[in-house]
Amino acid sequence: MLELRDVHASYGKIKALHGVTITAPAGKVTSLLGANGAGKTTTMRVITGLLPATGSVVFDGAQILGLRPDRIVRRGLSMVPERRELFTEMTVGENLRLGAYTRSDDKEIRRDIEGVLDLFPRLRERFGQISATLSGGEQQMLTIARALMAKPKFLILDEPSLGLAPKLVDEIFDIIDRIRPTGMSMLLVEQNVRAALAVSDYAYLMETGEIRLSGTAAEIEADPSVQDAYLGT
Amino acid sequence: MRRVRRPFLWWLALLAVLMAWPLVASEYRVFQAGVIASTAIMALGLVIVTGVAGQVSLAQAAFSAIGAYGAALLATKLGVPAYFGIPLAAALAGVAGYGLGLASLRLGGHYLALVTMAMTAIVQVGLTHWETLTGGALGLMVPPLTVAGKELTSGFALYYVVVPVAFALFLGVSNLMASRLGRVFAALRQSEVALQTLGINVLHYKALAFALSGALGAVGGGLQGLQTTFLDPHGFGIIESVVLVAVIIIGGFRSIPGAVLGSAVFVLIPELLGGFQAYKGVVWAVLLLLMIVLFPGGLAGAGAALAARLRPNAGAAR
Repeated sequence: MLELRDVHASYGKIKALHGVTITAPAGKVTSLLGANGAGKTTTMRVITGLLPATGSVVFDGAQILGLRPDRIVRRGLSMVPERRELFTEMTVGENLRLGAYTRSDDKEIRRDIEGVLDLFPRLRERFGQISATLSGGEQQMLTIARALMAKPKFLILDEPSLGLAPKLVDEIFDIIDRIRPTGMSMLLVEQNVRAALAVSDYAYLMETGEIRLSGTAAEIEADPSVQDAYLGT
Repeated sequence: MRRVRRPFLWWLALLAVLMAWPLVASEYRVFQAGVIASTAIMALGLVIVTGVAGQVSLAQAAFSAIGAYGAALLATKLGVPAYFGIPLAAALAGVAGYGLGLASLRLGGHYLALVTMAMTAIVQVGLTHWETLTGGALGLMVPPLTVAGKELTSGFALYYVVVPVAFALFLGVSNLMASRLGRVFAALRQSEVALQTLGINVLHYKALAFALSGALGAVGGGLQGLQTTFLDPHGFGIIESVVLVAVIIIGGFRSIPGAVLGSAVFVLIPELLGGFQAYKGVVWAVLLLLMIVLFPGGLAGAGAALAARLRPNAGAAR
């Protein structure tokens, strides 16, 4: 579904990605793991069209490298940005409706709003509330729900657990688990290796701009070097 | 949906009052009200780009110069009447505004504000030094608006030109800001990143906000040119741009009626000062500070708060 091949990118003279190759198949959760500065965010900026790169990024059978960010989203590749970027002065409902901005099928939009509210009952309770007044976890729910309103074929989640209390982190990964059965393809970008592996089918481990390890989530979890460096056992 | 008619009736009532009032008011008051209306059109443009869309613009004086000089020059050099000249100049300012907005591709925040300031400076230098066209520092006479062979020069006659135009523009912008476009502008202010992830071409909408502000600035400038009958390049500088930002802050920043309230304060202050005109700048600055500290929502926000305070009795009774 989403395939990066030999992607190189740099910020000015500093090379940030040295030939990254990732395959994220349809209907599965693939996670991209690594510490701060490993190149996860850079990889995502390349995928979403925010940073020019060389190599190839194929989505749904078509080359998307070099396309404008909004064009990429319109092809069905949505990103949930990190730090819960909401329209903070708008209500939950208004945020959801803006999520469907690229669509014009009014009836279906209303049905999909019901759909995401079923998925996140907490948001139904808060429907008319200004989103700035939501808790951190609810805000993260809303960013994910809003992204789903665009009816993406593929969802990228950028550090969904960033800056949340441990209890809320569990809640967020629960949400991912709840979206999985809908058959949504996802790429999960995370520092929290343990939690991410628990909800993933496949995983890639990045270090200093390169893919260090790849495999099924179980294989990665069992790898001794991962055990040592990331899982602390 | 069924309540659409009520605001419509309010607008209609407002129009009736605006059209009847000059019949009982003095010529001087009517002239002043006309100037408030043309200033408010310029301020309205700024409400869109700076208030709603969150892009600080110090280019509003440049846009109003394009409108004022554009319409006056079209009339003098080519004989184009103002009712065609002002819309033409507004279209030109709209295109210039879109171009200015595109500069935000590489520049954001304060840097974009600096670019808008530079635009005002460049336009003003152009007005001052392209003497063969603009009359330079000596200024330019604005030919009167002529409709059906009659020259409209009195404050009374121009009121009936400027106020209906302002009314239509305010009505139009009110509807536009309540539409999908208005919601995208507001979203732009709140999170550009989020907007981008929703498949919206952020650059285009930013440029569009600048284009609208430019066109409105030019209409306001063009109409005000007819009222003042004379254009001086000194009246279209960075200070004038800053003053317009102050106008919308005093009025209510994101508030559409606020644009009128702020403009009214701006036009009426010199009169309240009487013999103390020299202190106009100081009074204006103090007023601005007071508003920012005490009424961050401007006059419109203060009015709404007052209305809410008067109403709780009715709310408790229910």
